[in-house]
Amino acid sequence: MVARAPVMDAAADVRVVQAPRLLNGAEAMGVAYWLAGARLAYTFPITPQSEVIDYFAAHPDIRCIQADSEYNVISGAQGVLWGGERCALATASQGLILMSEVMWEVAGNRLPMVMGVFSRGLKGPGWCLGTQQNDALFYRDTGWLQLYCESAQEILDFTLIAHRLAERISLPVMVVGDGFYLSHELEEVQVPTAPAAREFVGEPRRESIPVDSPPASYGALVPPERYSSFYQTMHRDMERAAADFEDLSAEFSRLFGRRYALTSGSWLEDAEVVLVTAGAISGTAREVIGGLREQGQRVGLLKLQSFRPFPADEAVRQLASAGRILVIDRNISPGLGGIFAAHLRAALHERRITIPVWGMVAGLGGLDVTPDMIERAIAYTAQAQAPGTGPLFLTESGIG
Amino acid sequence: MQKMLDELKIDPFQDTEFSPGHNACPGCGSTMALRIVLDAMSGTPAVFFVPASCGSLYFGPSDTTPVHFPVIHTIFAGAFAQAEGMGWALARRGRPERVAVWAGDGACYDIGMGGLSGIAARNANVLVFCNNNEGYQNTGGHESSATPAGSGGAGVSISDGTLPQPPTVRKDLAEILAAHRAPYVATASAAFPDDLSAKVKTALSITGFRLILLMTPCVTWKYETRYSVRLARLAVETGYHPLYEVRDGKTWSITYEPQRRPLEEFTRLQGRFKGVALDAIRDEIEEKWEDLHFKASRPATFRGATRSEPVERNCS
Repeated sequence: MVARAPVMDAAADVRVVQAPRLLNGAEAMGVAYWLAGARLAYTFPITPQSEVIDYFAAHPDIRCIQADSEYNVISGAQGVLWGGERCALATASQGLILMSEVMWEVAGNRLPMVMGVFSRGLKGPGWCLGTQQNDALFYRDTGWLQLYCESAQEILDFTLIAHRLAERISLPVMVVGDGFYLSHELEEVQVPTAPAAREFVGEPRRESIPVDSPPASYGALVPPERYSSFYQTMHRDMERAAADFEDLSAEFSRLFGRRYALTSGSWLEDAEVVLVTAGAISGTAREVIGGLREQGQRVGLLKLQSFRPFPADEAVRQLASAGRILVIDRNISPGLGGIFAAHLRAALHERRITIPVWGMVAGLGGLDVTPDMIERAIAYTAQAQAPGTGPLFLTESGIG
Repeated sequence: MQKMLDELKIDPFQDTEFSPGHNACPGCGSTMALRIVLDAMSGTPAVFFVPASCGSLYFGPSDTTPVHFPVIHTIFAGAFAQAEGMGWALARRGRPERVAVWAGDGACYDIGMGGLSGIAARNANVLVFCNNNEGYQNTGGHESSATPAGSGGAGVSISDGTLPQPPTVRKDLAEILAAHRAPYVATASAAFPDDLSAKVKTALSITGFRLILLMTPCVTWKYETRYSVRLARLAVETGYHPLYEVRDGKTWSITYEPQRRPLEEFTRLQGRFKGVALDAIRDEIEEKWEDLHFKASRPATFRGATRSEPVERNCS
């Protein structure tokens, strides 16, 4: 996949704040946690994340605790967060789902945990090693934020931004990369220097923790009124998170020259078809659409960088002049179809936008999504009468 | 009466670390033990993790607390590793607070056992108190692997003779954790408050993984609530709940040699044993004491430093 040319901020710092290295996403993740000041890590091996353990352990000043299961990885990490320290942790697939009960608790406790995920298909009909986004998307309703990465660079950058974001809004953040494509493939990554990273992420030690406050109970029985208003508050805080991400991205950009937003559009101005993607597919899509543009085809690309908060306002604004919309989902909700497509359709409908949307599901189980498939999908969308209901399945042998 | 009150250190006007006004059941054996534990810990800064259990209720609903340290309520199986993680974070900050877990047999014996074994295997600096009332009492008295055969509600297996028999012995958690070579494992009872207090103080003088296993009578056992203390005492005197310590999984010490009163004196007061055959439990007690006496009589033979020696508290 293509390392994307960064959007350079003209006001970017001219000190040496970063240096290029050849890294895969696993190493980028490991380095990012160290740069963020995490000196405790809870680990458990699972493909395709196991190497991240080695990258945590490569830093002698990170104490790595290998737990007995992922349930206890996140439990241990939650304890570290209760104690006011940052904690490095990462997982995938089965491990991520095993954590589920604790995931709700971390978000409910409003702890600013940051967790790395390399998405992988779940068992399921059998063991699946290839990438699929369902493991992360499963946590749709927990209150966790989810950022989707296109590259190892984004994994590193988002992990740093996530620490600031989580601590600002007191909600945990998941940084998600496609398994194998991002965890194992090497690319050139600009790695911040330790001082520059520290300048951005700030002090890795929270002041206000239970042992510093008058004795109280945390997480005890709550009456329905309190429980209900708690989730309303969480919802509002999640809605505001988009603005916080913008803020922090601007700050990040002034230091490192890479500017992020929750959506990233290319060639949208006069696009007849806009392809909407999330994750590593975005890079392949950009290659394809760049080529189509050179041939004079009016195609655009909208990359979604987050699932929660779902960037509805930004996405709809950027799609306003599209003729047709095609969403490619590397996930599936059986009976519904692609999950990003469903969210986008709802966002458009809420804002009374009637641009037709085609939803295609592709790349499940780690199946390749090739440039040719993307080109055919765009052609299909351009020529189709109207979208039907339910998803289309995009494979190397066809669309149906 | 006064003698008994003095012995049990019950003084209605005494200051205690566990404030009255909490919402435990009348006659709760667990809070009886908790009060003694907390008084023994008085002056030691601490933070307690409480997984799903009766404790989730008697440490008070949100906005109330009967104790003078932070209590973090957790999901059922996660308290052990959460306590461990907090211990590491506090150590990094040079904090003095001791981290403890107050859990029931449900969390320790069953659903959280993987996590408990995990932190024991990693020798986490956590003191776990298991208040064992032999079942999932908070939710209605269903059996756990700590429940004596036949006495638990529902979940009783029926055998047709060709399949394996349902278990007739309780899981022996103290021995399981001793096998982890934990620095300190002890059993205790609120009916023997000096023994319990001493064990709490011993545990506080050691770093690493420690467990104190309490037999705590529960009104779900179906008895008149005024018998709670008597039942706690009889559990020990019948040999049903031995009082002992194990250090580093190598040295056993029996801290009280019971009278070995007939088991019926314990069981006949409780509705949960009505109609339950006691032979299997008597056998279990016999075998346990034979095993305990043997282990306690063995000389300690081990090489290298013992993990149960008191060490400096300031971990960095």
